[in-house]
Amino acid sequence: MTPGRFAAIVDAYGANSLRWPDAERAAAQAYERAHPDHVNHILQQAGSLDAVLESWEVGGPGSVLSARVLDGTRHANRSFHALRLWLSGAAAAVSLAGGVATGIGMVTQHSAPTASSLYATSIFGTFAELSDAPERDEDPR
Amino acid sequence: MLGVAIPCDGFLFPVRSRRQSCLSEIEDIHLETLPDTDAELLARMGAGDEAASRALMTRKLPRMHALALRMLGNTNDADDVTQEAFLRSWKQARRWQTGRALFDTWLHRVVLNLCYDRLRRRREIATAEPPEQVDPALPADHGMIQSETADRVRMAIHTLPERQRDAIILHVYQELSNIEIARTLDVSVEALESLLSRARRTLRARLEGIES
Repeated sequence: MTPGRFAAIVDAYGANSLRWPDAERAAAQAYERAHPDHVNHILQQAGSLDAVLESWEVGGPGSVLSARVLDGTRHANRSFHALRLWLSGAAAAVSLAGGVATGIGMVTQHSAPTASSLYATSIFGTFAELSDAPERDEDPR
Repeated sequence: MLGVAIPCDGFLFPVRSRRQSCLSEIEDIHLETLPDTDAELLARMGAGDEAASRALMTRKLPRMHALALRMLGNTNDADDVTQEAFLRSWKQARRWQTGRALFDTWLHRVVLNLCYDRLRRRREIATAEPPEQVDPALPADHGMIQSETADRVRMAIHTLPERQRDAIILHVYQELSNIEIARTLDVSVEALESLLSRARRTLRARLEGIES
């Protein structure tokens, strides 16, 4: 701790060593004990300003504010849980609806013949028959 | 003033630019290894524990309200800001990551940002309606414990440049450490010392009569 650094600490943080930087407090306090003549004036001047600044006090929060804050968080908490419940219900409903739709789709696809397939069967035979029919001989002879 | 910022839960949380290199690695480590005494309560609050909400409020409300009141000088505004800050802390509780920042520092930042918004709005209103302007900076009310000395101190602090004002309020009245203040104001510890020194020099000159 140099004289300059000690003066800079007091200049910035005041005379109360509790407000000095944690990392330098011990060294500054040791310097203060070792050089009382040098530090007394600096500390006195800074201490006077500290005392004046500390005279600015403010009233504490009223009980109404405490109740408002608690009500606010309680309300937010309830809204959050209600929303979470609603979202999980909605997600379940959506997945259920999706499952039902898929099931209906599968049943329809496998059991009910389509109009086009009936038409193809009744007039032109089945698609299988058409696809198995021998190709026309294109031989020019 | 705050440099680069990203929106977080409706307020701007400052992101330190590489150029600023606000705190040295040693200081970062120091802050991040400090035990966050609020972490457990915060986790319980995030899980919907009402007793934890009440405990955290009891622990933090007086200091946060005092900060808002000193910044705004008006009980109604200070009440609104404090309530909003606690609501945001409730929202933040469920995704709070221990070790990234101290909750107390974060909460100071939230209150300060909300106060900046209010002060900015007051300035805009005062500019738009100059005839009705009395003293938009600080109308003292019943929330302020008045004495002639206290009133002079209040006036002297509120006529400092903003960063010096904030540094003094956080240091003298909120009793944050230099590293916590630097984090809150998004400046280096060296810059903070400079802000505090200049502020104290100005205040000493302005309050000289009282001191003697």
